[in-house]
Amino acid sequence: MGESIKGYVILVIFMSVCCAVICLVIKKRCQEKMENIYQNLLQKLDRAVSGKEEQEVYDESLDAAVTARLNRVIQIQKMDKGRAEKERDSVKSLISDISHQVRTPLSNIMLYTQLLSEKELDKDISYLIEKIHKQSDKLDFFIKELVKSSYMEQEIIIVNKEIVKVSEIVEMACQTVELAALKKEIIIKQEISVRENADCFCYADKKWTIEAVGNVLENAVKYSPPKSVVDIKVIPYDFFTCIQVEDNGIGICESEQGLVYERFYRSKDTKDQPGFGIGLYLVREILSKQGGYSKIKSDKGKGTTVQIFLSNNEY
Amino acid sequence: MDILITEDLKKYYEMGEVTVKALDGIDLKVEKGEFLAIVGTSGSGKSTLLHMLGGLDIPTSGKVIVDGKDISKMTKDELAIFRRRKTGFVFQNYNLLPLMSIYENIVLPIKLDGINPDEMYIEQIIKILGLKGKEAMMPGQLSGGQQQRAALARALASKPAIVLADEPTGNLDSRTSLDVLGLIKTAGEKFGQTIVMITHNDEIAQMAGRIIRIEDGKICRGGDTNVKGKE
Repeated sequence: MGESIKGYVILVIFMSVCCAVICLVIKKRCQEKMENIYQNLLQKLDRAVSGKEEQEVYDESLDAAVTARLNRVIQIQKMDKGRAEKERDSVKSLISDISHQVRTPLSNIMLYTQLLSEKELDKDISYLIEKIHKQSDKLDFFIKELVKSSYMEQEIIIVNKEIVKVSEIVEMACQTVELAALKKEIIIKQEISVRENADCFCYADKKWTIEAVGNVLENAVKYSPPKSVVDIKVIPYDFFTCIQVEDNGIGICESEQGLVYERFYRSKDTKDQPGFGIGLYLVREILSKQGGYSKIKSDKGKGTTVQIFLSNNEY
Repeated sequence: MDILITEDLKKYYEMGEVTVKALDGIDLKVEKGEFLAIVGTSGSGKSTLLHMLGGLDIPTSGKVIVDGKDISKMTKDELAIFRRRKTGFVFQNYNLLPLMSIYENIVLPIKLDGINPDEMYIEQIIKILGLKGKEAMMPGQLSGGQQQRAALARALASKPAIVLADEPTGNLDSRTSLDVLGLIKTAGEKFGQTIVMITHNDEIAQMAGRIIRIEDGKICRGGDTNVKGKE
């Protein structure tokens, strides 16, 4: 009798141990499964964050349902983006139309005044012509600035990175300020380093980078005394190539050096020069969109050095 | 949107009879995606501030709000997870684990979180930071600049919202510094990260979009969000 009870108890204990083990195994399996599901989901979300749609499978699984919803989110986001882009394009073309249509009559006015001033006229009339000339020059400048400020609409600057020759960018940018420099008899001196690094390449958008370097040169010419020299240099680094523009102009005091890249920021020392505080803002925007950056060193009253760093790799 | 906010942040140390005020009422706001440099002489409290922002230290009073959460109220465990997921640190002396390869070092914070690393993303970071082909090497086999780039890769690997850099180029020559900092700046822009860097070098600080100066535990300049942030 005692034997059979003992056997019975052992059997029960054995059975419950078995049960417990099986339960544990099942629990572990479930956990692993859940973890796998979450891992999968995480990876899916990661891909969704970078804007990639998943391959959809049409079955009854929850996984497929999640994928479909995710794709929907991505599509909606893309649609919104597309709409914004369309709007931006129309604004862009409107601005360029307006500025074009205003500039044509304006240059005509400038031309006719020029012609008029070449005629022999009495003193009063030449004085008036001189006035018209100055005012139309001003208007011309402001329209150029207006076009520039239209670039500030965030998405108008679209860069297409390609391999470009740095010396070519320097060359083209110098050409954009040639006239202004001539007027003030400022020499834009390309250091030997530009020629030495003639076969130095980097990844940048040619058109916008020329605009950026041109803006920096324009500032250098604008704020330098007549008959001074503006130095332009190319310095290659491992990851970046630096275009350095050094002037002997009015300089920027330390507290303002970080601020000059802000849009519409103008130093109080520049009130006598026309401008809206857009140039350097654009420089920063253009560079950051193509994986580069810009930096300023300046001594108040002695001059300013602006460095433009262009990325040497394409990502 | 402000990703980092401190409200009347104070850190006092009791040194016997004297109370040292390492931070004395810091009000700071950092915009998402900003590159902020904190400049100050040694002992000004800049490192203490960075440690507070990263949840490495607990304030005496005041709040540190990261992404809408007050981290001064978190428990130790919560803080550890917060640090791993939200922040990436770059230190002056790299702090790479010497017995792990560069790749293992980079993916360590992700592995700690029990997640499989997003290989494509890691690959991209490695490429951008010029570490391609060096993944299997040990930290000791790399130059200072390369080690710092690896440390930066590690900081970026977990896609943190905030990268905190403590004198990241303190041990590098000026040429390498330029490269590393340029990479910090451009990578931050590319991945939409907010960067807070401390330095005592004004020239390095120039890289940042905004500079604040700290003296005796107080912000003496640049505390407000910049002009761009107000729009």
